[in-house]
Amino acid sequence: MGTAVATGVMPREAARPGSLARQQARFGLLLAMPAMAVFCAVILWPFLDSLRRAFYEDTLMTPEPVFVGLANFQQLLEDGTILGTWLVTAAFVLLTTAFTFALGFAWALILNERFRGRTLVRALSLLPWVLPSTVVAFLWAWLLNGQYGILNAVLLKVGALSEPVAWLATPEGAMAGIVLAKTWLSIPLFTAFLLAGLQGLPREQVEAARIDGAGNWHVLRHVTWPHLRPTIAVLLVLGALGNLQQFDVIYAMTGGGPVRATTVMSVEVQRQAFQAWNLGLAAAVGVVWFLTILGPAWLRLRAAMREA
Amino acid sequence: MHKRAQVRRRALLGGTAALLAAGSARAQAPGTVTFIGWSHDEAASRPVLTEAFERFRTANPGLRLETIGFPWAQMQQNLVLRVRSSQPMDVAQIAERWLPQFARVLQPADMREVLGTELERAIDPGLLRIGQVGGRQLGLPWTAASIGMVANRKVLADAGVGEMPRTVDAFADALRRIRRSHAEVVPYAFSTKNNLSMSPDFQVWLWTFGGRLFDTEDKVVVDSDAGRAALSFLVGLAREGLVARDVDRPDSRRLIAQHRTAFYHDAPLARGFARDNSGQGAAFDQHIAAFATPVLRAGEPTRSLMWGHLLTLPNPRGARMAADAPAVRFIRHMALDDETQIAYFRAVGLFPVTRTALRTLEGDSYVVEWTRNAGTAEMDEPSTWPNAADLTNIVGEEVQAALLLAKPPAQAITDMANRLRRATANQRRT
Repeated sequence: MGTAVATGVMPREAARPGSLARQQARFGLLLAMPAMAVFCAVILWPFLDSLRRAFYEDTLMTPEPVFVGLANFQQLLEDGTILGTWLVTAAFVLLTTAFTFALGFAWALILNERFRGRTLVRALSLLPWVLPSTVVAFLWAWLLNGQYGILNAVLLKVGALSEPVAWLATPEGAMAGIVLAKTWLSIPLFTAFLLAGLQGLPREQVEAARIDGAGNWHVLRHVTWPHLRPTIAVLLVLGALGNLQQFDVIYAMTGGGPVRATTVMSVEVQRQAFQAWNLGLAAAVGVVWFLTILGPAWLRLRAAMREA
Repeated sequence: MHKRAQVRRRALLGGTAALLAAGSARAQAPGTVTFIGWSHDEAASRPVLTEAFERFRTANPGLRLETIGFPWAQMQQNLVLRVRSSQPMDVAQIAERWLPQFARVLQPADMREVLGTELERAIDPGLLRIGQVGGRQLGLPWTAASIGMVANRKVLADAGVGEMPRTVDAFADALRRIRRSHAEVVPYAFSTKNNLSMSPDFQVWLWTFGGRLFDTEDKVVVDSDAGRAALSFLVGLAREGLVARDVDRPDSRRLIAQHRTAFYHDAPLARGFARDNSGQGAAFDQHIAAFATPVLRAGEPTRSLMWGHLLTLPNPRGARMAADAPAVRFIRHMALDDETQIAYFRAVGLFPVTRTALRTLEGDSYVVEWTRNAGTAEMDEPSTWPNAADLTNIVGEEVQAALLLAKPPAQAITDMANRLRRATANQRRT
């Protein structure tokens, strides 16, 4: 103190408890500001605006949006197509997520083994992932085309068919087609996650189980599966979220048809917004879609918070 | 502090308004024409239209022409966005079926007021119909014809069908003969995949059987004997394997170029597509014929759907437009100048609209036949409603459900009628 007075320099006020933490928090907030600003401008604001729009009549014919309360939701219910759209969405998400997981898991187990050319096979496995999804959709649409499709050509050649089949022309065929295409597209992502998980599995545990007499099935069920469970949980939630948001593959392959057999929520929003020019109704479908996504998103968020 | 914030906010708003006003003023700056369209964005049309634009620039050195192109599929969306954001747009290209809806959005100038008697001197009143809404000429036909039918002469000859079938019964017989003679041929490539194609193609048959979707008092009348007969006829063809599932216009265009279908519906561009898809160019013309949609009884008029591209002069403020205004000079150059019109036809096969340009094509039987068939073309019925896209989807979905045998034709017609009634209950036809 005396030194301070002698040199004319005032001592710094003793830091109050918690002030450092507050300073750090402020600095952290400052660093996050640009990202927050972008998030607000690009995601939050359009999201809130579309929520608001669901309560307005906003069509090509209305110069200014008119507040109509819940009328858009009432119209969706009275029209009766929203339930069908929701069920189609649920079927697509369940089937695609399940098939992608099963095949991705099997492929990850294979790629985790040692064999010649493993690196090359791993690299090639990523191919569907690096292709643009619309390209993949058009490729599958061509493969399954009723008049020119390679599948028909091969089956006709080997005598398995007597005449061409329009695979995407039936509700079941179209659903199978889009599930197939999206599964093919997503397998690399699932495989990469699961392969990373498998590589974190200690070899000793597997060897110990084998010494105890466990066969492949038992090792998979009692050693590998419990080890991968957290990864699988995250993967299934992320996969389901991605499939709930799927648009381009479905739109490019079937356009939501035949009739409405592959009209999922995203396709319905596009149809209302950019074909029927009914932005209010499109926003109302978007709200139903958002509420549907909220379930898996909440699961994912909860898991993330726990990890944090 | 609060006051200062208010002042700053006002200054900001004021600045923004000034900028917007400047932008708006620039949009209306004399001597500039902003043209929005899709044709000059397409590979096939780009060279000939670029040349046409250059000729306009050369002939009008004091004018500045800005051309903005969007893909066809995104055109409507971009028109709406440009209108809502007050961006410059002096001339807009639109499809004829968008006109009733976009008339409200663009509020185009009446071409009769702008061009006066020049309009009817240049273009036949029959063709001018495609640009009319509520008795006003809101669109100037740039190219016009119909969605009619085309036939492949070689497929017909190979099947022993000597002459073009004129009636519905003769048509069905011809399809059966083709089916018997070529197992791999789709006799009639009716659209079975895309609502935007299925709805117009079905309407042509509906009219042929004497039905309509709506009557003159805007009531839904498709659930009539004629409606059921039309759809039953198509479902019958599907059951016999005379039409194929999973077929859309692009598929039909390839099929006819490979001699794998005898008939399908298309715009006059059909011949151009056949030239390209066959790889034979104009040598393929001998196989392609404009085909009059068969009629129920001999002597009835053949049915087809009006089709064309229009040029509009968006004029939301209702300003008076002089006959020599830059935008008017531009549309005159594109749609009323024979040199531009004929060059466009030679390049991509789109029919000209002026009487004088059409006269130069009298030696082309494809053009002559097509133009004759288009004389009785009718307007797409859903397009006259504000929710046209909804109605088109309803018609397409119900037709498709019947063709896929998911429901009987009578049920599909009943469902179509009920859904159309619900969809038009609170709407007013243009």
